[in-house]
Amino acid sequence: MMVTWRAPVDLFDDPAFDYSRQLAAQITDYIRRMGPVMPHRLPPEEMEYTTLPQILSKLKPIPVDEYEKNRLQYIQFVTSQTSGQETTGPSHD
Amino acid sequence: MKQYLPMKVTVSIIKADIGGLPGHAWVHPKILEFAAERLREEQRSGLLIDYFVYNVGDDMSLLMTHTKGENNPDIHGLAWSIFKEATENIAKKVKLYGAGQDLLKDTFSGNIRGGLGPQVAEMEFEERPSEPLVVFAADKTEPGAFNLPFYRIFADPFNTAGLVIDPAMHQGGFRFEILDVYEGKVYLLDAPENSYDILGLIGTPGRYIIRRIYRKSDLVQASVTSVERLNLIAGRYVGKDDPVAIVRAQHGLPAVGEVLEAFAYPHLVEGWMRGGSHVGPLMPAKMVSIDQERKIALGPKMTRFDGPPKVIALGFQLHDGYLEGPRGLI
Repeated sequence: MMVTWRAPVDLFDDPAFDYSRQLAAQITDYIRRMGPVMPHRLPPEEMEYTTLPQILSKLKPIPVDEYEKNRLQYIQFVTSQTSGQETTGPSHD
Repeated sequence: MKQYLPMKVTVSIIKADIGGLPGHAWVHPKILEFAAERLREEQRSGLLIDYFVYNVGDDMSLLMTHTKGENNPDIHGLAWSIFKEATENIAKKVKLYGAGQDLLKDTFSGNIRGGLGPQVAEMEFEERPSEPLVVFAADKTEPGAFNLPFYRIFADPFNTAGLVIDPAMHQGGFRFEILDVYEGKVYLLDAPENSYDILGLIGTPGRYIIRRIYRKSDLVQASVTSVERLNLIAGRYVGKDDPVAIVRAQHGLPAVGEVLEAFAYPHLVEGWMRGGSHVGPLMPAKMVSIDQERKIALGPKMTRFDGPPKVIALGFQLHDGYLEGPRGLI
């Protein structure tokens, strides 16, 4: 009887690792439900090349002591400065 | 026809960790009884309308209803004196672990906020004709632990169908008050319009924490969480503590079932063993017992690795400042 050797050998292709794959799939399913929240998402120091610095730079937060003194007035406004969105659609010509 | 005149009521939860038994696992039942007795005296004297005492792990919460408004020195002073007396007369006598550990100063200065130790969540509002309240308390975690569930409740239509199908909520959504606990700054952002910005911030739950949420159409306050600015000591931010929160439900706010739904997913939170140097799942936990006569509820223990982090939910119905209930909701 001939046994054909083939290199390289796929070492994880063994029933011994089936459980690990299942567990990883369960963890994936579990942790994906956390969305963009730590600790599934990395801490801010690791997020320099994402939108976080941009978000922070355009928001204008209120110092908390000042806020607490005049809360009823401040809650009428958002501290975001989003520009107006385009509301007209493409023209139908 | 009898006209319904809304009553302005303040609901205050003030909580502290004054010593555990054994270690950080549980609270000494005598401490709960002592607190309930003191609050009963104040109810008789007229300072309080109603009260309830409960624990999660080694954290004891004093739930009080009154008409004194938020940050009232009499209410805060009462809580402080209860924690102090319980520490001196019970916790230290039986040498509870960490006796008095949450009482960082010896003297009370009129307000519990600002680094004294105990945590506060207060909300003053006009009672609606029906006023269901859900009170949350967690142990072995941090206030940011509620970021993800509260976002789900008030901004995620896949959790809260009412955001789509209830006209009162569909009309504008909710305004989130987020506190940067490092720099002491407040962000006010709306869902759904600023959802992505909200998530960009609250995705760092150690720093940007949801404190209050308002319904945008009329600025009715829907929730409050105990969150304080942290203290920068020797280059580190310290002062994170287990959160308590109050959520008003139904009638143009998320239903109780929608509020609870968000906690069905036990997301990973910071906390657990050794002052929060780990990450673990936030487990919705049952109360051990609820005694409506004596107004005491005994909450879950902390066991595996001093945890896992747990959250309890107590359902009350508020009427004229009186608390009907609670029902354990988890």
